[in-house]
Amino acid sequence: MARAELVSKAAKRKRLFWRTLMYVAIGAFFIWTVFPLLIMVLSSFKQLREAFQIPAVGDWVGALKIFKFSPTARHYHELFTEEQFLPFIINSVIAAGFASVFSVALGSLAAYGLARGKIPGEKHLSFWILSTRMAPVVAVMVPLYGIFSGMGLLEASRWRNLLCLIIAYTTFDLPFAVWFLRSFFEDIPTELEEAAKVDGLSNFGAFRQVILPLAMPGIVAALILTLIFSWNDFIFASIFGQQAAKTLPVATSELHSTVDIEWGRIMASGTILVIPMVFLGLLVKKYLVQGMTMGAVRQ
Amino acid sequence: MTAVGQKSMFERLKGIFPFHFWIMTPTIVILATITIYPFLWMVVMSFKETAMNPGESDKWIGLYNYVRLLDDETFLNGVKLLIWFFILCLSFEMLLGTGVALLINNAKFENFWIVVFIMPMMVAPIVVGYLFRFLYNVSFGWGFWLLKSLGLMQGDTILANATPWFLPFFPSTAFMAVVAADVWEWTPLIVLIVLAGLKSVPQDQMEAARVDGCGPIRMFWEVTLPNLKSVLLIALVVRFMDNVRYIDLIYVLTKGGPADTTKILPFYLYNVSFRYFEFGRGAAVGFVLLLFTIIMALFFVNVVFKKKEVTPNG
Repeated sequence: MARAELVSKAAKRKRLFWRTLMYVAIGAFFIWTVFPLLIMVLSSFKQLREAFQIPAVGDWVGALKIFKFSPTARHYHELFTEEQFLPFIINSVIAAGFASVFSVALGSLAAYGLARGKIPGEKHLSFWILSTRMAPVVAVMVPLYGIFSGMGLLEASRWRNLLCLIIAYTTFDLPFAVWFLRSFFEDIPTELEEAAKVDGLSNFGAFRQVILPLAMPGIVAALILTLIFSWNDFIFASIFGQQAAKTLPVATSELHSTVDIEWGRIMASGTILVIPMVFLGLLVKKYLVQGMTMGAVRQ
Repeated sequence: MTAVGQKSMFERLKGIFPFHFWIMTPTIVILATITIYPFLWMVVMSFKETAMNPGESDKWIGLYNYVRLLDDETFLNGVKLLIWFFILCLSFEMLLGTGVALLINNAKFENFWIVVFIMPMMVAPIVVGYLFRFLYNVSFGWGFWLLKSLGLMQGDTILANATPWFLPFFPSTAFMAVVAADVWEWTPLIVLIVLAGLKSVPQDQMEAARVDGCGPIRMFWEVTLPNLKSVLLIALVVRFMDNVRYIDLIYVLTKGGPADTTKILPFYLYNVSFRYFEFGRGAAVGFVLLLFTIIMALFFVNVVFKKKEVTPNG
């Protein structure tokens, strides 16, 4: 009896030990994940002198001073006054917004066709669509640059350059929307359209009135995810957006000139770039894995 | 008369191709114009030497752009570094991600951890670049301070450090700094993907194994891991393709330096095309890069379609 008690006590202690170790490991990964973001947000509210203060090597207690500062909104203020950031934010919203609406509108039609139709060579078609999404950004950019400049779209004009960006973003947003939404349409039972057609709806009517409302969560998630992808783009925007249609990521990179790196403003601008996307990402939390794997893994 | 004729023609076409074909046409047409045409443009361009002076026109040089890649040291170095980049990023991300997913599966506050892990993925790569550049700074970077304080860092610089990291044949310390930033941003994605896979491990198999007296370690190797196989493969391919896609991190952190030790192939391509404006050579390099992707896309499609055959509904 006593022996059994002893054993169970030892087992309990062992389990407690492993549980603690587990939470220590999770905690370590948590700190590693959050720490850089915390530094960014804190530094954006610090005077430069305070942001540049770090303790001596090995002074672990001194590290806590990271939280000791007098907050200032100076860098944010400078972004909108001295740097004139508002138009860049608007450019970002226009380019990302149009590309995502356009891609999801066309993509949902194509995805439905792929999910339902018995199309010969479906696998090859899917492969081709996917390969356009996977193509390296720079490899796509070289030919697009030649074509855009041939069409006169690279002249310094805000709307022309924005159009370039929208087209460029469509090269990766549209294939993404097709692949992602296809998995949604596949999950909707075919009996639904069949019933609707018996009730006298046309093919398209059944799609619009029966299937589309059911796929709404997927469509909203696709809109948000494509918006995030295009909003975060830097390489396309740096070449095609140029000066006339400068987006927020490009403007951020220009705070880093050959002379100086404006760390305070960069951190503030980074915070502005990141906060709305984190918020949107949390909104589509349920579909995030499905989105990031283009419908291949479902939660 | 003609109007009627056209209409019947339209009706006839509608009969030949089903509805599902029609609704796909806009996407196919658009994707074809923005991908196939540029692709052909690239093929043609890769046979030409781009004119450097105004007034001159491009010269046809056949396969020379490809031939000279073979003794272009920066190109070969770029291929080598790209392969290193895959190996290092993917192994860190997969191992760490799977480990963390196993830990937080059914742990306390699981939802809270998931919310936290979503954040890095949403950060624009360019911001990740600046963030790590700030952390790696020698005079005020917290990352540098941490490495020094833990005694893990010998040199006086991270991003300008071209000496091999760890072993003599390894890439430079600066290269590892770029890898670390990539691992920071994308490990959480692997955590979430593996977590989704763990939720779909059949409970009855776990139960049966438990009844048979399986310990946690044997359980992992014999029940969990085989069930995770397809999810892990997909995670691997998804990360692989984004690894070739983006060069934002390198653009901000090192610009390919020091001494070309971080000039991976996509960044080399960026330089050739948009710094030196040698579109002909750029097109040839781009072609090689596309080859990498196409192989991977084929692989991905096969995994997805195979999975579909095994489990028809999910």
